[in-house]
Amino acid sequence: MSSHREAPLISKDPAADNTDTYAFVTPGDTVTILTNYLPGELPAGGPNFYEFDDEVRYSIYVDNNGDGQPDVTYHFRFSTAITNPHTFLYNTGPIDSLTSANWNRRQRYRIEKVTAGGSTVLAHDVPTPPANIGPRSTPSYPNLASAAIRTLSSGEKVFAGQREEGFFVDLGSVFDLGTLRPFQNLHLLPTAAQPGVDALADANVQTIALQVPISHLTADGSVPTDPSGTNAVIGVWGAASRQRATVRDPGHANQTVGPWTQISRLGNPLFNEVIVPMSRKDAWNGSTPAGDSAFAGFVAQPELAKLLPVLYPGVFPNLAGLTADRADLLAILLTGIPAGIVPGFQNFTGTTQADMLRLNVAVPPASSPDRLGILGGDLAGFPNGRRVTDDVTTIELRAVAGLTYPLVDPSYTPDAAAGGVEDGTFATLDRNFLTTFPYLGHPHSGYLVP
Amino acid sequence: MGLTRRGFIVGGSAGAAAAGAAASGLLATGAARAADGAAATPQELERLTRPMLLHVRDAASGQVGVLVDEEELVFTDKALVARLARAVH
Repeated sequence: MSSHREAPLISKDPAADNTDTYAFVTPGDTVTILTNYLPGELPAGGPNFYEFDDEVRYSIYVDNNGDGQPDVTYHFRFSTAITNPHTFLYNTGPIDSLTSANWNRRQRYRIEKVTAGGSTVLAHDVPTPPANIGPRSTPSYPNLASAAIRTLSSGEKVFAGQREEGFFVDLGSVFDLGTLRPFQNLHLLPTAAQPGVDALADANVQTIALQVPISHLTADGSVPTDPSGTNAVIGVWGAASRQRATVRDPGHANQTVGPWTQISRLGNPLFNEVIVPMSRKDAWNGSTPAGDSAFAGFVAQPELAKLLPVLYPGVFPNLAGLTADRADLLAILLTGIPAGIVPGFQNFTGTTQADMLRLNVAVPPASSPDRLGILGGDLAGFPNGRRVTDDVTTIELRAVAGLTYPLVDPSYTPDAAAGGVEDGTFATLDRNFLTTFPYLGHPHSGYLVP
Repeated sequence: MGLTRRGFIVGGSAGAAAAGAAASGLLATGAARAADGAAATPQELERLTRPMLLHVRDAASGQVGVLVDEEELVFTDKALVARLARAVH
């Protein structure tokens, strides 16, 4: 999936598994950043419904000078409390507010901001909403979620809690030897073409949402209006860390101690999932973007680009003959797109190769977003940051298939299929994205979507 | 002099405690003091209110890590590692 269970170690630690990161310009000269955790939540998750882990430090990083190191960091730490020690239930009646006495297990969180100037606790004891249990337990769920949106005195808006999974992908087809629906009839082992199947259609996820004034994130504190300006681009990624040691003592809370050790990170969707070899994925999760030149070879010669002509005989002949390093992918994923490649746009951050979502904050939100982002002529979409509606699987699939290579070598002619191949789920996509913060839809109800 | 398990626990714990204190910035010469076998003072022990974990990172070289709070102090103490090795046999 985007980065769900994408590496061996983190696949066994879902509460720390950063599944998706989004960053996009929003009204009011703000940037909204979303980081998701806990892949594939079954809505009917009782009695212990899904929640953040008190032992994990969840982080959002922003680089504003192109060195792949964070210049602005937000850390989120959660704490969980049981209010009624005598019941096995998550709730003993309807939860009609965030202070309901019927709600037995609730989480609050603390937000710390770190810059070169030091560390500041922006807020503590910020409430999260309950899980969406069902119409009797969590009636008027949107009201509960709205009550958990807080605007801080420092200018940020925050939300942390359960959301409808925003990522969509035909996962079953991707990992069954790349039998992309609806193109199975062209596969090496063909079957009749069928529509795509969205593997995450009924899943929920835990979301940390942060809306920040642009001026808090740029290197010079400005709100850039010229997309060509070097101060207009920021790099964003999410990460989760645990302390180095945990001591378990039955009957007592775990004791954690030692330095924070990063175990998950995510900038561009699918980077660790389909580019980094399995033997290196855990190491990548523990590293920082500043060191990503060590992985650039896997971008320059992506395994998937070699597989497509084999899996689809005769469909990608030009891609099969493309042996040069993929300068297009190196730019899109590791340095940003320089000026002069896409008219009116750049998100180049310099020569440091670093996997980050690069967002040109001078590009205003699109009035009619195109799911293909820049490939569809919409400069406000992926790979200019990433919005919740961007069809990132199709965009990256087409790029790897050679559609973007003419940007760096005009003599190359992409295969016709490179412009047509796609993840087959968008045509029947059923998501309830919001038009306002936190943009991801309200979570599926456990009662209604077991 | 022979080393008893009880003797190790008493001596080893004191050494580890001193190292932990150093990690917290409580001792100016933390690593050296941890290595010289000096027992922690009551004041030092009193300030160790958080869990602390000792990790033998490399037995051959005597490299030891002490995890305390959000830090790790790494130092070399072959004598401490030797006491540990004898105690677990």
